[in-house]
Amino acid sequence: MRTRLIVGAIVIAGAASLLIQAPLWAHHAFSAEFDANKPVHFPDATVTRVQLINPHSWIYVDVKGADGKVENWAIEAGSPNILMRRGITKDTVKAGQKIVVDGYQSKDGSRRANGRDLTLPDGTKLFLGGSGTGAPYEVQRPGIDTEEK
Amino acid sequence: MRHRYLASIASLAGVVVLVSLAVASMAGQTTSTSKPPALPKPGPAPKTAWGEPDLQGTWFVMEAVPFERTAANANKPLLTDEEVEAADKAKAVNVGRNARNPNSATQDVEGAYNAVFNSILRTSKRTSMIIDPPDGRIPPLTAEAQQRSTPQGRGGARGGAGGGARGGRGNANDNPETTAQSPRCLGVQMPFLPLNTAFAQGTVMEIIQGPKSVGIYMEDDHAGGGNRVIFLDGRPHAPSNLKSVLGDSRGKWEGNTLVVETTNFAQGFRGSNPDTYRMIERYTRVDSHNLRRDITFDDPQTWTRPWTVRIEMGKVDDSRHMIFDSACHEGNYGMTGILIGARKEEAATK
Repeated sequence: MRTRLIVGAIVIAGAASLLIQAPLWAHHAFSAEFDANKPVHFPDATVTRVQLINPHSWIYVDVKGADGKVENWAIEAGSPNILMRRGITKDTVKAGQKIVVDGYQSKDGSRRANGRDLTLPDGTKLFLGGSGTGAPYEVQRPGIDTEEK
Repeated sequence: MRHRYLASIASLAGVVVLVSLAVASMAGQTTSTSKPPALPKPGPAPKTAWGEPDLQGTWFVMEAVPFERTAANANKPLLTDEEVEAADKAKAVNVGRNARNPNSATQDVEGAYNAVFNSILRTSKRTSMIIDPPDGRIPPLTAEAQQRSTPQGRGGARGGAGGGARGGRGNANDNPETTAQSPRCLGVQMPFLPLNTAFAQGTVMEIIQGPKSVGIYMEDDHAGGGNRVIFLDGRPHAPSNLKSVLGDSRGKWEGNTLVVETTNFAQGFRGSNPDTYRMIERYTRVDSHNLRRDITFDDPQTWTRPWTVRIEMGKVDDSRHMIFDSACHEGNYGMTGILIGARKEEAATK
């Protein structure tokens, strides 16, 4: 009986976690702008410029192409107003900083991509609030809002 | 004993919040218990220099409240403290957008950015924004509105979703006139509800006040904002043929509450008829740190009775109490990218 209870609870909880963890849908069609068939991975990108502007932030990075030539890519990121309220400013990420970019290239084939995942070389998420966001109205998510995991 | 276990299973199945607790407790082995700082203690509601209640400031929606009450919470206007805590614990362990979609690259692209770019509000005890009717649900449609919502009825003069409303012709991304409202930088729409708090949509507004008018700036995620001017000087509404996306607002004080009637909408709300739809807001500064905004939606051609939502907004420290520059068109490289993408797709199919 006890086993059945645990199994039942796990099934229900599992179903609930699928619901809870379904990604929140974005508010515009990113697949219209970026090509799902052109994933990009820049393990050693160097930030050259950061624009925290509406409607989206842009992070410009230098990356070395296969031929060894350095190319400048524009990486689209989320909207800046939430970052600002979490204490993240345009100075949080500085020119010269190394980041890892995972995303998708724009459909026109230009050197633009969305920054699906922006991480630091040690795997930490870029923009991760160091000691928490300090925003009393937010739920603190370990590994997202705080460095504790 | 057996019955007790069965009862436990039934309650787990029936109450989503308890299910969330189960998820949290399983995943919670590695969770952080770091709590955000406590909210400041409020003082009395201030007055303006000319003696009226002072509504001014930048106001945030600080808790997540569902729009309508779910069936699971029927007859339950408030959650318990334990249920709120369980819901917040479940949110804290949700990896959200940090999880890549391994099955569909297209859906992964649609997910856009990792979870750092959204903001998860704490759970409110309230189970619905709707406070009237008391069941927390939108009242039934009138027979006429039901007819309008049929495919045949939709061909009629419904007022449409003009002025940059999402929709129009199906959110087609191949034309700047038909893409959704947000990537077009068209700013906010009324009634400005906090329906998507993860992206701060409908959650932030600034009020500036004078004896004869009140200005409200509504910041909406990244798509530009919306400026409203509410005249308090007793002037009548604009002629009915003058329509606008934000409508035409007139206000008056009733005790400590500013009552604002808005008409002349270019578009309805939830299928209402813009010619007969009106919105009545009641703004009350509850205390130094809290503002209450009640909105009554009234359209006798659409709903069988008026209905009201309550939005509670608060203040935190000034460093986070700023309106972000809404300049959206200038940096809207996304629109170019979307349209170029559509042209590429067209070329590929030729």
